[in-house]
Amino acid sequence: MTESNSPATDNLRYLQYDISKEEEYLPSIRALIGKDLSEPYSIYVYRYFLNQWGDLCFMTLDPSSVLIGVIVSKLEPHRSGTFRGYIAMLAVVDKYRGQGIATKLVRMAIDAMKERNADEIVLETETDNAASLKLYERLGFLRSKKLHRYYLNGNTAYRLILYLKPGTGLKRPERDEAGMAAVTDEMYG
Amino acid sequence: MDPKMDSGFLKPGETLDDNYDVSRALLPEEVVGIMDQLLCYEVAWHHGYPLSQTLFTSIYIDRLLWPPSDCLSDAQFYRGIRPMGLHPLLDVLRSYCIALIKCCDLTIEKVTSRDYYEEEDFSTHTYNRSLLHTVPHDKVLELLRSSIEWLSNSRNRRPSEVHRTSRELEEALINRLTFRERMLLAVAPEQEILDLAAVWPAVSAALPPLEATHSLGRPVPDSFSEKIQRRLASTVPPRPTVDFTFAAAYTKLVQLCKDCEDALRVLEITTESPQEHLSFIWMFSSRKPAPLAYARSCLSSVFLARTTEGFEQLIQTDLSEFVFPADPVLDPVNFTLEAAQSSFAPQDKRLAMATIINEFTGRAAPQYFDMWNSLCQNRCRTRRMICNNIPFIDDLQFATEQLDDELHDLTHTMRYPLSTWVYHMKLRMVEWVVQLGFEQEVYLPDELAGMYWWLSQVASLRASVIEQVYNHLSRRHEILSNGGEIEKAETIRTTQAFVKALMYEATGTGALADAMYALYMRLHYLQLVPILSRPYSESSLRYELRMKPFLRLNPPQIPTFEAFEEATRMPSGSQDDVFAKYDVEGSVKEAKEAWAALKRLGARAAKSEVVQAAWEKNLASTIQSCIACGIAASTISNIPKDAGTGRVKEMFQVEIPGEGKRYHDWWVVPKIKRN
Repeated sequence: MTESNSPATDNLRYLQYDISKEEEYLPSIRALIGKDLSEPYSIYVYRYFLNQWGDLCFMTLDPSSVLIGVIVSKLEPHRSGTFRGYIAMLAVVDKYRGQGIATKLVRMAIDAMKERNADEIVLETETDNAASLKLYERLGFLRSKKLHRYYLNGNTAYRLILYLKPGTGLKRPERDEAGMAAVTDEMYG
Repeated sequence: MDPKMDSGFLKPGETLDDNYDVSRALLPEEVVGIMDQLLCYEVAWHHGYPLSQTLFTSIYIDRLLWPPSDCLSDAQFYRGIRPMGLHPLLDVLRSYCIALIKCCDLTIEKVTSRDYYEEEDFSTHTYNRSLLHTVPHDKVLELLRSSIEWLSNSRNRRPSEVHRTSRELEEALINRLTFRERMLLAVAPEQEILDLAAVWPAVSAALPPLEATHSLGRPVPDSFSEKIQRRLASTVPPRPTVDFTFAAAYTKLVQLCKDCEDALRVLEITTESPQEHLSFIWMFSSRKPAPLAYARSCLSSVFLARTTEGFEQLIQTDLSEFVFPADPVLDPVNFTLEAAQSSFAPQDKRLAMATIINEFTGRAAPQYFDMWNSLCQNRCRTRRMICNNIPFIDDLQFATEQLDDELHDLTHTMRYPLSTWVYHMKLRMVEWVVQLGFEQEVYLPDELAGMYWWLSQVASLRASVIEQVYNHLSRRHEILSNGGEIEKAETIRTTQAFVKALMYEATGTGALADAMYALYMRLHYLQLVPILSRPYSESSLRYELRMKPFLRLNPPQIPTFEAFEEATRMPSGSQDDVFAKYDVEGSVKEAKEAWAALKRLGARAAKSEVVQAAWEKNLASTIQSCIACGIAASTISNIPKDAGTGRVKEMFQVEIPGEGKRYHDWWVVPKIKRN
């Protein structure tokens, strides 16, 4: 897949984020992810993920330690009753695309979530983002539903899901005080 | 400062206010230009974009709405005393804008009267601005009409007054006001409209002159500003204006009017037949392009606007169209009886039956409503909501069996009539979820065989349920005919025709799904469908995920993973054996026969008379899919025995057509070309 004019990928470094590295990496993470967004996330969105689940964020650095790829995720009990991992952001610098860097980052995130006992991993991606769909589907994600006009720009998304454990589909939401299960769109499908 | 991060920040020297003078005299061509631009924004708003990025970018609209005014006469481009010498064309523009704002107000009222999803379907946010909500729409109509009259009489006035408005431009302005008048009449609350069927054709008829005279207009871009967003009560930063070209907006507007008109054809269904309505709603929601939120709300505000009792009554009608035609169980007299005062008096069986039916319809009404409601949503929501509803229908079926037992002690009707009705509905919903999954491209190419296999099972099961009902009706028909009860026998005959239509639809679906399954299995054998390696997933987990909406159902119990794997495992053996096992031709033949039989039976028997043309088209597309499936199978049938996998791959090109590129969105027939 490596194109002749693409930079070499054999001496890239992959590393886990840590809150102590905020000053060093957060600005470049924001720049990298914000580049392709019409409306950048505020710094609090980044901190929400990175401060709580820094260990589920992985970075790719080139030989001169410039950030060229990043994945940001979280993992927490979901109201459907599952322990759900969520991939929130994934970005790779243009000129490094098509060389498996994003795939490697996703694999690292999945591995980390698996290790932490996740039941499932979910994410959304635009229905016409063929590259993204291909990447996740090759690894094993399935489309579970289509979300009409999910994004602010009016684009539609697919929710992609990867089950990691048997019985995930049968998990039930925890009941609230009245004994009523919260029925949500997230429960089924 | 990053302008992308803080889109509200002002560049050096920039002010928050626009310098546009709304009291300046306008040329008539400029008024036309402004009106047409407003129309483009209105259409964009109908497509789901917020007012802030569309109509609220107009400085004229802004001035009318802000500062807020209590009455219509205060809503002016100026506040306080009318400036001297204000050009009369500004009054024309004001009338148009006021009517446009009122249209928005009424549109929001209609859409929000039923379930809808903010932003996803429609954006109702008005940023704390009242869209002339308290102003009666007939006052606005008066205003519009007076402007039309003024323009019509302009010939009689001195030329200076109308800026030497050419006759053509006058006409163009009148066209726009007339369109707006009709639009306002169409979006008025239903109860205020005498002839609902006539309002949208009238709007449609007013459209072509707009297109024909659009070129006369001259745009006034300065009268629109993104800056207004900064003053709106919103937590969202300013976002770019949504620009539809006039041509695009016009096409979409034509479609919107047509959709609204057709949505209201639901009123042509003169019976209370739920099955007629079901067919109507499916045909409507399957239209391409998908009807917008407003058009859908035209339909749902007519159909869904009934009380719980109304839905309970609808369930009774539904039962009478399936398991209980002309049945003593639903005799209206039963529901008029009162319980005997003395507990020693013998219980009236009719009353007991009515009590059971009432209990059942009371219990079923919420789920029944949910089903209808889900069908009135956008297609993505429809699928998800049906997924959510299915487990509740499952619970309902379980609870209903006891009522059936009680009913059986009172009358010699079929076994389990009520739970059969529920079961049939549930199986239909399972089919819809899978078929909408095909439509929405939820399933990847290497999942198609398995999903058609499951669909085939569900549809076949449903066919067997329908058959039981049919047999029951046949017996009753015979008894009633022999007993000389001709009228009742005739009612049953009609119901039988409908049940037969359901049966053909179920067997046709089952057989075609089976054919599709067999076709994909053959393609897998030839390695013509790409299979993903999926290093992070196991097939059993994927099966669990796919079956999630159905995991707890009983009945039908989903096939075990082993059974699924057995059915979808890559076939091995000789080509002759594999092709014989996966009998595409046999299933296609069976499917064609069923669909052809349904066609012969006709739209009327299938309770689809009001949407006959769409029904026939849908059926024709399905039959086309059968034919295409057969052709695909024959294309790959003549492969030399000694051709290895590599050569087979070179021989054929297989394309899995996406949504909109198929004969029918529910049938993903691969396009196979021999090189």
